[in-house]
Amino acid sequence: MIALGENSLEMYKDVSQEEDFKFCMTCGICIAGCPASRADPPLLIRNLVRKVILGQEDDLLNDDTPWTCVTCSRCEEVCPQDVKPFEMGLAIRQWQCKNDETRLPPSLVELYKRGYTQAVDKSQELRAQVGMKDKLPTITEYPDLLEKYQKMLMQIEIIKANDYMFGG
Amino acid sequence: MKYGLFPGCNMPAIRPDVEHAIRLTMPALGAELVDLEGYVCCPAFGTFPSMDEDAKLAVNAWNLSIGEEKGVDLMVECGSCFSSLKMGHEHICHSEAKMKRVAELLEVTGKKYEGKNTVKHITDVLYHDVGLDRIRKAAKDRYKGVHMVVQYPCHTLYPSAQVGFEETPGKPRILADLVEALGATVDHYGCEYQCCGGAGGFHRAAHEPAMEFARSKLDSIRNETKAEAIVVSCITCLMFLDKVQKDLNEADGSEKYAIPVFDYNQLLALSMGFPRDQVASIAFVDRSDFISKYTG
Amino acid sequence: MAEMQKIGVLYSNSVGGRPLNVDFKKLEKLIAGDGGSFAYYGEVPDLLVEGSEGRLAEVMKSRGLDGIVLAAGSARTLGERLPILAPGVGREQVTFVNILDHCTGAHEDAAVRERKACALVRMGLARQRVMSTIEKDKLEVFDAVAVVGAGPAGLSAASWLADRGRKVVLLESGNGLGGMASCEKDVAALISKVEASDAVEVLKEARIEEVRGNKGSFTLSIVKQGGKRVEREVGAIVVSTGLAYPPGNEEEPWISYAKLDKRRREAPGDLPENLGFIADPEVVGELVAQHAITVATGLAADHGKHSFIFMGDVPVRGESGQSNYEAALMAGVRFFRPDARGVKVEVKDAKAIVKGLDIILKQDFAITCDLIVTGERPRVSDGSRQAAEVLRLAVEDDAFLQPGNITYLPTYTTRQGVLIAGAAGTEAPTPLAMRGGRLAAIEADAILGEGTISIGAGDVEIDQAACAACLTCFRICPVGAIGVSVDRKVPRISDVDCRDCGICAAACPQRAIKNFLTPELAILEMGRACLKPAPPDGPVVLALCCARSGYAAADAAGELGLPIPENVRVARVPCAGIVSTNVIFGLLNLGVDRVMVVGCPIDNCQNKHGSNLARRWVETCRDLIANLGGDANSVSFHPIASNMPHLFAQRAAEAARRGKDDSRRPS
Repeated sequence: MIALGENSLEMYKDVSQEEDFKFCMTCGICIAGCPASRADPPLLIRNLVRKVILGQEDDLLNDDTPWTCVTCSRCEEVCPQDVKPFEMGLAIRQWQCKNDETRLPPSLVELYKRGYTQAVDKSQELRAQVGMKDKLPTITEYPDLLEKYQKMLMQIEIIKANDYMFGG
Repeated sequence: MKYGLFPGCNMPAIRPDVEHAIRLTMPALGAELVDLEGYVCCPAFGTFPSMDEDAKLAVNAWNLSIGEEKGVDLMVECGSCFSSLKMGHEHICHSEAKMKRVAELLEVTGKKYEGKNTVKHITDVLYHDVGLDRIRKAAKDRYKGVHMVVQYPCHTLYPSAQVGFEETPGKPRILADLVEALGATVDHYGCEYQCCGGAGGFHRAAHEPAMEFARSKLDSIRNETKAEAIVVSCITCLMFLDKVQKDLNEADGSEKYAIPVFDYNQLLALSMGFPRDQVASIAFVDRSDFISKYTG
Repeated sequence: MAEMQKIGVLYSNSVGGRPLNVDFKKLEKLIAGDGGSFAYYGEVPDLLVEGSEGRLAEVMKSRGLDGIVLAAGSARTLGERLPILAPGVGREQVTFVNILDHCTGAHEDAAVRERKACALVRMGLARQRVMSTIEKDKLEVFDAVAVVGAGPAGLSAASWLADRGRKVVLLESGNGLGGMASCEKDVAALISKVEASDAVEVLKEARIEEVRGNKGSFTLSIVKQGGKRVEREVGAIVVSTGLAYPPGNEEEPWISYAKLDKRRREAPGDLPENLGFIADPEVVGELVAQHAITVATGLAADHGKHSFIFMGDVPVRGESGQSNYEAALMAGVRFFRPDARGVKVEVKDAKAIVKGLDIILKQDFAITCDLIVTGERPRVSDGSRQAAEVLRLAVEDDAFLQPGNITYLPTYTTRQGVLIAGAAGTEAPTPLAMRGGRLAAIEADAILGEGTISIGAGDVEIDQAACAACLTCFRICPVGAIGVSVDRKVPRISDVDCRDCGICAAACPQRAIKNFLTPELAILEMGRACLKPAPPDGPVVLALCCARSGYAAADAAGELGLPIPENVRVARVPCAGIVSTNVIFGLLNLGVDRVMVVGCPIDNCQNKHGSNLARRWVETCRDLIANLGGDANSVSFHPIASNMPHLFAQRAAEAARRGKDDSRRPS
């Protein structure tokens, strides 16, 4: 049931400061051809944008579909209203994270700790097998740089607020 | 021609043969590669970009600044690394507020980023900077008459205004032209511009639909073309289209899907005579017959 | 008398295109050699196009010409637009001859082409010589325009005219300006401009009671606020009366647009937060749907209200639809598209809950609104009806004019000097209505001109001794040129408005209307001229074609390259109804072998009765000729619409052949 609560109509401001998505005329071209629209439940980016516009906060907080996006950005290309649907999808993920720390992707911790999701630094053996003897100059090779990088990230409010996760 | 090679993480960690192919072929074609010391994840869309815009742009700027300091553009093979960095670059360079915020965040690191360099996809470099003539000469028509199909990396196509380098974004052709420069014949098929479906959360969140999505593409290739190989230029496309064939075969209990998948630079490296165990040794779908047949 | 007139022959690239395969030098000699005389002959580029308005008057002045024959392509509506495209040149001063279509298009043989072009230009010269001899009266024109109705169209007309330095009398039946669009920004700006202007006299709660006089010199009796009567003299009248909205449910939380607008103007702060607009274009029409969008946008953008619009398909067609929609989205207006069942409204604690199924999210919605704004499909307003009656304008079912006279280009009415704009013609979204107002104002400005109108004097008159004051002529005149004198006893014909169609004369049971001399004489002169140069074989056929239908069909036939025999000479007449028995016998006496009269389809005559009349006259002639033992087929009538060039070509070919085989009767 769509009903409007007290702050529903202002909620969109928390999701995005951009104005572009307001021009959505719900044509649905972003959905036609979206790979993740075939997922179950389907990713329906137009509907997500509409939920933002109508401030359907609870509904949107519990919606997992933004995370099934393949990031191909096709929707961004075809949108006739320049709503930037792909970036709206990311904005919705960010908003979910800000309102519910359990949404924070675990890979963030890897990224914070060693700079990568994949264990690039531990792949030396495989790399040697294909003839690359030199070590890749990843950030883990430069402890001082890693420290600076982590310091940079710790300035971000949401990381600071959840520093227990990052071992900070 | 000098570029900072941004390898990302999947390529060096899981498919280093592709990385080696790039490191061998590009300098041989006149594109000098330098390493980017202390580079980190682009960041991938499922990480900082899904958590905080500022964090995403700061990490983009961290990577870009390493190249800027060396006076080189970043060259990227992975589609999502390219898109993350390129869109980050566009956002930073087209908004004073974002440029300022990034500078604030970078301050504690002693780095700075002023937007003097940019990001290029490897097919962009090959097509526009190296040129088809030089590739034709180096490849020596090893694949003459061999039918192949291409898989364009979506991230290099859309949104074309920000990341594109094709003349006709709705109907891309650079990768096909590059493949034809190797002497091969590119067959076209109905699902040619369809995403592989491998990136992001789709195949993790919805494994079955993602497999079916990939199947539609593979069936289109099988039924509509005489392709002996799928050529990609994105590590995610490579890994997914390779692995999904094995998964589909296992699910079906058949051997139906067995089209070798190559990164473009792997084909290039093989035709230029680089050893196969160094440039094309890791795959689920067996590629040895193909390689033996055409490049010995 | 004819020698006194200096007539020039001009050709130009811009009147329907310059005939390329006619040798104009050779043509000049040919015309002169056949006894045609002209005072000037030459090419003038870019005549009668926007941007060269003064050129024709300049050429005429510098060469001392009284009249012009324009030998070029199809004139289409150039004649009607002459006051705008060539200010200072009277319509009686120009004759258009279409040699592009009738000669170069229709004939491949250069000799035939030139002979025919020569004949057509000579006919043009003959006509123009007659027209230029008409004694002219200069009538003073009142330097003011009445604008009836102060909606977007009326305001924009008044404002445009005021900018041009014209005096404007702006009448509004209501007590506020702007009509139903008063809350829109562009309209609000016009209201303040018009109210502050010294040139515009605004009369609120006013209506026209009576109109006397004609184009250039109307006298209006106006009943204004408090029942007082005033008189105003104007040269032209712009009718921009609006549409009426049937009163809806006005009991809160329901509110009409008019009431909402009143509250918004008086105390915007007192309006509640949440406003719902139920405006499905399928139900209320596109105009109300568009209006809902603009009002909702204004309230959201300027007063911080929450506006909700409930409609199926958003009306995004037309010039402003998409931009209005985007402005609404930008202002934060929320749209709800219910499924086919529409919405239901439940009223609870003086609040309305609008319920339905959102077809995007496939979820039920229940939106609480403090007020529900509604409107119904508009109707013709009483003001429009009354204006139509007072001004004696043709009334259609829906809007009160001919369907073609909407808001785009033609703003003419059946009555000269009265122009229609905006919603008076049809439902028009605000920007279109404003444009219509501007266009009508431009035409009104042209009517006022430099302060005088020149007219032919004393042509048509009513023999008062014979007149029985039955007023048949008053009722039948297609252009409203016949008025009734103050004592309501005697009809009078306006020299300005009369188009010489002759319909009144034919309809008059007393045969009291006389002296339709001008066109009769002109046609006879054309008949004389058309005989030379004689075609090598066959009879000379003069096709007298109604300017609106037959002549346009003849133009189109030439344009399509349909073969029209050389011995058929096409002449343009204002209405087939003027080709009386006198004219026909006159032509036959002069030596014309056959006369074809080509008019509109009987039931679709621009002059209502003209075609019927023409047919009756032709039948009378044929009977007489047959009784006298002549060839009845030498006179024929053909109803041919403008889009029937093939039929025209076929009938022309038949007429040219006939005579060789006298037994054939016309179909």
